[in-house]
Amino acid sequence: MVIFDELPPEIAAQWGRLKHSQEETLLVAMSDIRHDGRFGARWIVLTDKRVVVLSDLAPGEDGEVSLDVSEITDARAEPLVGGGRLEVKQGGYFTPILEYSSSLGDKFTEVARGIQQLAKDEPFGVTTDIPRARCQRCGSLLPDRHRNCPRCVRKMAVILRILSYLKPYRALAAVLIVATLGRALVQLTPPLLTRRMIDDVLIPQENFMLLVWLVGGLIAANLATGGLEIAGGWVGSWLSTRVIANMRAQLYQVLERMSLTFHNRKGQGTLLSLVTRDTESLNYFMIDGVPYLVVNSAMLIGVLSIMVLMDWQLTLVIMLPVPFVVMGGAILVRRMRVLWSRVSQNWAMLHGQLNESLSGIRVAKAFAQEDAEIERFDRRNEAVARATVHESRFWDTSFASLNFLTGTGVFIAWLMGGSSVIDGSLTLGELTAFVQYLWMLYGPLQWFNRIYSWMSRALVGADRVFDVIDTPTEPYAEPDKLNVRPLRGEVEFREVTFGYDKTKPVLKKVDLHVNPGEMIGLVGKSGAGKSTLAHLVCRFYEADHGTVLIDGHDIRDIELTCLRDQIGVVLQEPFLFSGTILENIRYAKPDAEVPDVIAAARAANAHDFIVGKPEGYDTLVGESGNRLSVGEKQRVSIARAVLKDPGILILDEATASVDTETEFAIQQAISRLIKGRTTFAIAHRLSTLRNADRLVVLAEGAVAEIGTHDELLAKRGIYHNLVEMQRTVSRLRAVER
Amino acid sequence: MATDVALDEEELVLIGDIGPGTTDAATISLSRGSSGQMRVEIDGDRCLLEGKAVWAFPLTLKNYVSILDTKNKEFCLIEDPEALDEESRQILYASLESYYRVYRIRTIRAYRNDWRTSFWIVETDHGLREFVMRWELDSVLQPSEHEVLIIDIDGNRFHIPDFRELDESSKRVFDLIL
Repeated sequence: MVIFDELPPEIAAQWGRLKHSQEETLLVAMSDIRHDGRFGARWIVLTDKRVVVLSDLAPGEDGEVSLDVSEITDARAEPLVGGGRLEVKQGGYFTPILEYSSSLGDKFTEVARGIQQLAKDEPFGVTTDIPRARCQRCGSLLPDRHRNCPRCVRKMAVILRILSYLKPYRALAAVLIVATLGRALVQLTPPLLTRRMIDDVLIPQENFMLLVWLVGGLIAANLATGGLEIAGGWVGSWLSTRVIANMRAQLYQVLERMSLTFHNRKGQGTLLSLVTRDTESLNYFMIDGVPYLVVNSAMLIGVLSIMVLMDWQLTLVIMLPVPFVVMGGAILVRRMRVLWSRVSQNWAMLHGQLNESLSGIRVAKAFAQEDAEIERFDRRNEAVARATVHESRFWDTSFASLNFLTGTGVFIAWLMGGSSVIDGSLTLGELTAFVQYLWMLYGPLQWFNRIYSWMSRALVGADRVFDVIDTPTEPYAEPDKLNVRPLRGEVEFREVTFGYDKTKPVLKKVDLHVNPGEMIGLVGKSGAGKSTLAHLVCRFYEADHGTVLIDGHDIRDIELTCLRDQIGVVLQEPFLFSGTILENIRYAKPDAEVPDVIAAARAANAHDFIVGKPEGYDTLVGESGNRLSVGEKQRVSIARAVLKDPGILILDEATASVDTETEFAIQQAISRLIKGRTTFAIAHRLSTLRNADRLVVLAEGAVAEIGTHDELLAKRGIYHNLVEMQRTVSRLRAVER
Repeated sequence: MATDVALDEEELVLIGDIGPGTTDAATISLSRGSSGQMRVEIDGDRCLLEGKAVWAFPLTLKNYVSILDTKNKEFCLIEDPEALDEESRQILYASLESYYRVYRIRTIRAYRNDWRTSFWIVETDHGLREFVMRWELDSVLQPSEHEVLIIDIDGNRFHIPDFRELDESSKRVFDLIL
């Protein structure tokens, strides 16, 4: 039974009364929109015989639904703007039975799939692996479904894990602790020295030698503070940078070995932010935040202890404003957070605007829209200025108010302490020391909230990093896997079903057998599943159901590196890494001999253009290869694949982005490359697949037609229509020219 | 000096000739099918058995309504829905209402900002709702000066027609965020 949400007792009781004795409950899920459209709970229960909708409203007001599965022919989760609707098909039309907000879209897609399976008499099976909207521990809404709850981050566990990275540097960590605590201790001494100076030298106007010693003490304290600060800073920044660099390196290693499913789910932006921003904010916190926290915590304890020892009654009185200072600091930080966020948001918008305007400057000029762009920039610029002024004014006002509040403690100290000096129960030196300690006490108190919030954010970032580090990577090093070398290239799909989103299969029960050395042309509309089929051969993704076999072995039983070592891929958008052409061709086989590199380049029709460049094979290709033309990049990427000498080759729209002449050169290269290798070639231009031994036409995720070009044309089916359509388009283009 | 160039008008396809492709509302008739689906007929000639109505400009111009078939292909575009007959108009607005789930915020009960994310508890015309909004370029839209549309991380939409009409504490949130 699939329980997305537990039925509350009253609904469970209601269901207990309604449930027929012979029916089996298969699924329970809760919606967040009531029958009348208001927010509130409603439940759907799927049994092997019925679809039942329940609510806690009075009978007659609850819009209760009970439908026999036998009357339903289909079901769907119909997306709306800002919500969704579960609909079932009866008598040829879909009828709504339940609504939900956009937050529950994934869940109700699964519910619809379950109803669909029941209606079509298929085996019941839905996934419960749906990201939760709320934290299961604290119940609060999650700002990111794929991340841990920031409120429930176990701060101590994260801190301990960060500290575990210090293990190799124990000695330096000890130096840092001594330097930090020593600094706090030394900073406590100047008020004690000034006390003695006032009471034992200045008031009695005697004992010059003592004055010299005390001033010497002050200088020593000052020097020690500076020295310890420098030592702590040097060691601290080195340690923190080292720890974070190690963490970042570990994170990157994990990211490289993560599955494409993980990369698709997280997105490039999130991962970039994880490697750069999250680790960097932790670095800053460790360099600046941790020393501040340690020094000031130690100072607080020290100052309070000394003050209590000096005069516990006066300490109690002057501590009166402390709760207000702490509360004021908290309020200030909370409000400032909103203002900082607004400034940052406005800056982000300005950056976005600037980036867009500069990237699109040709378009702006072509449409003579420079003035409009300037106006758009001015608007964003003004917004940044307004937000910054607001933030600065609020900061200045609040900071001054907080300082005044802090000052009240000092006023009390002067008033109460002054009267004690007058009546002789306190010396002037003691009072002066008291006031100095007071400033040392209030200063850190104001900012502990800010530091705490800073720490929380840094720890949440660290938790996100650890979350990824702990995610299982692709299985590269499994000892019991098969090392099949060389691959003969026999590929078989047995009832393979796969979807990037498990609820929406892209491939549905695909059966296909490919002989070693055979060239298969994959044909079909965009989204038909051609590239997905090829991706499964590389095991970039794993089938949800069914099996992919290579040379008769389940692909999951073959060692991953062994498999990918023997598959060559040429993509529509060739990707080269910054470096030389030589390095890029050697990417798959770094130890390849130069004659082999040249032979690969010749086979790819790339040698001539390479040697024609001033730096030949040593030409730097630039970031992502952007100093080469698309055709040149494509030929380098083919050379890269040739050098690998793969048993299986995947050509995914390899000639789609190039002109006819370049296409011809690439086609020549490809025809040399495919000899003796099992090849999956994907192309929209059907003429490029004329060399294929068989063509596989995919339609809506299933194999619709298989055969040679002539066989499929004679069949007058989907392939025939596609060919006709392309002929018509070609004729039209010829007329246009 | 700019020189006027004479163009052969016959070769030009003018935008005015193409037009917006709207269908005269007077020729459109909407009705309900046996399962409640919206049926659309144009001039008693073309008929769509199951359609849905969507705004072409949901934030700015509420007079353009597009009627789509079940595969989201446009069947017709209506420029002036008010020109439909009474029954058709009611069916059209009911279809629009059933497609857009936009909740009107009456008051903001709680607002908490945590860097790029904000947490809201709001009282809407459909009851109390808690949501999370991430500060992105398209998460707070201002169709007009005092009108705000907030889109939460899941795509739920919350509308404030005029934030000046909110209570003082709710208004303060907008002073902070806009």
